[in-house]
Amino acid sequence: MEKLLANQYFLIGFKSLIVIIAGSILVKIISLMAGKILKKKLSSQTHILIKKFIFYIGWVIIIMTVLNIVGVKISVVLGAAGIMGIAFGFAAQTSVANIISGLFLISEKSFSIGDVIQIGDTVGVVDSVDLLSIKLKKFNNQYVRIPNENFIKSEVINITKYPIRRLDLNLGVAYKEDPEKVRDILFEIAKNNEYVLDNPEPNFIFTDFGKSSLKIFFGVWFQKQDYIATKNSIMFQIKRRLNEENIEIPFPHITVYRGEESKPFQFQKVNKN
Amino acid sequence: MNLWDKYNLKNNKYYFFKIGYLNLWIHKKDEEWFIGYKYDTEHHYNFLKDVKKPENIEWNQYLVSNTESNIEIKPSLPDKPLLINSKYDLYILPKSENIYFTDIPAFITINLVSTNESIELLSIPTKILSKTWVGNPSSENGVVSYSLTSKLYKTYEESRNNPVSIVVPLKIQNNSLTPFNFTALNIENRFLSIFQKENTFLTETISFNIKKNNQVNIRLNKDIYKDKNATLIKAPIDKMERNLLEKSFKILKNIK
Repeated sequence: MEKLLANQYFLIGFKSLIVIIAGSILVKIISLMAGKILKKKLSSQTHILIKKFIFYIGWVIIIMTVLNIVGVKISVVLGAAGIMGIAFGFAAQTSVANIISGLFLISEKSFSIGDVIQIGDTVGVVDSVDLLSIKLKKFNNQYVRIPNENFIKSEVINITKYPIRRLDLNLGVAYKEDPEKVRDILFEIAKNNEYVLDNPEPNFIFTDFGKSSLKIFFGVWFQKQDYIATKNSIMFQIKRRLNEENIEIPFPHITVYRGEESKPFQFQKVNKN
Repeated sequence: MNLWDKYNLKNNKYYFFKIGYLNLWIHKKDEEWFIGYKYDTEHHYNFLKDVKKPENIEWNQYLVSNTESNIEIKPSLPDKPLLINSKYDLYILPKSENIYFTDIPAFITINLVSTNESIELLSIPTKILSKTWVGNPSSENGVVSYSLTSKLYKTYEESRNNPVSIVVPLKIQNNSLTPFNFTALNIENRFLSIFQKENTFLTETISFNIKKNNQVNIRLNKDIYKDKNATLIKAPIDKMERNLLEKSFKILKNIK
């Protein structure tokens, strides 16, 4: 044992191991403690980022200390790091842009973990906000990683920012129908729907005289967690009720002719006498 | 029919309660209880023993560790705040003080009762209540409340429109120099208790004091606790925070 302890390489290795084990435990404890304290005061993504920052800084200190024990001169390492930093800077432009974008996103507080957001065609629940990217869980259970830079450059819609939302429905009824009667029916459906809120009141707009129908916009308010229940129930109720009232919902008809066997409709002039 | 009672239910039988618009079935099978309900458009009250097993109904199943067969039906307050819109615009004239009564629909709470304890199985409304947002839609500060329109009455006897309602006394004192327009009230049910006085259920009195600068001071009057003819049926869920009551009232004033 004495011989072993006298061995310089063993001693260096042993010291390094102690620093790594003790350092990693210390970093873990500080990171956890900071997380617990900051969780109450800061948003979830900010406190996760601070925890990660503490973790990485802690490991940089551990590595520097181990290098010092091994006998590597820190000044030389830092000098080399400076040169490498320039090379690395060129190579890591995108990563740096993502990190800076991430900091802007956090300070803006446009969304937080658990919000449903839309970026481009992607809609999903924010699962994590990290230094380089934001992870979304899509509703079909796909996991999407989107670089932070994209969030700064693109339009992001936070669908569940507020506790209530409006469900926008666009429908058309035939020209023969009375739009005032349709309006009254829609308001009655909304009033009796268990998910639709009385206040704010539903919005009805007679939007346009369309090519083949009278265009109507109808918007109803609901609690954000009731989206599917509200949409399904109100769509079923509108279809059922309009059928009961014999109100026609027109739709475009397309007739397809195939090959020479199928001829277009024949028109014949008929004399009136 | 006295709805608010204990019921001894036999094993393997179906029992039916018609409470306003609510159709309620209760079934006991050894150590399992099944409760199913749905709403329809007929409004009346009835209790039937040994009915047929209902079809097209979703059951709530409860597993218990004993074969106790007593259930108790008690009133409870709605599980969300309640926005009562006054049927008529009520103007409280300066230097006047009045007590009004309004009624709110009780929820039906079904408790499993044994010799030692009472366990709540289910709490449901007797009709589907519409919901409303009290606050600014583009703000996170607001609350979803049930909503109904009701009159304010001078006596609590006339405020009882159906057997499953709870009377809320409102004491309104206008110390300002202008008439006060009272249009709606958002009741935070979780701060209120339910008392039974003879055949009526009622809560504490909510007192509104409109000050000279039109600021409204709201508090709960606990005098009913001293009334020997009143029995406490259900204690409040939360301890009242005065600023919360006033906050909800302020939100209302802003949206009107």
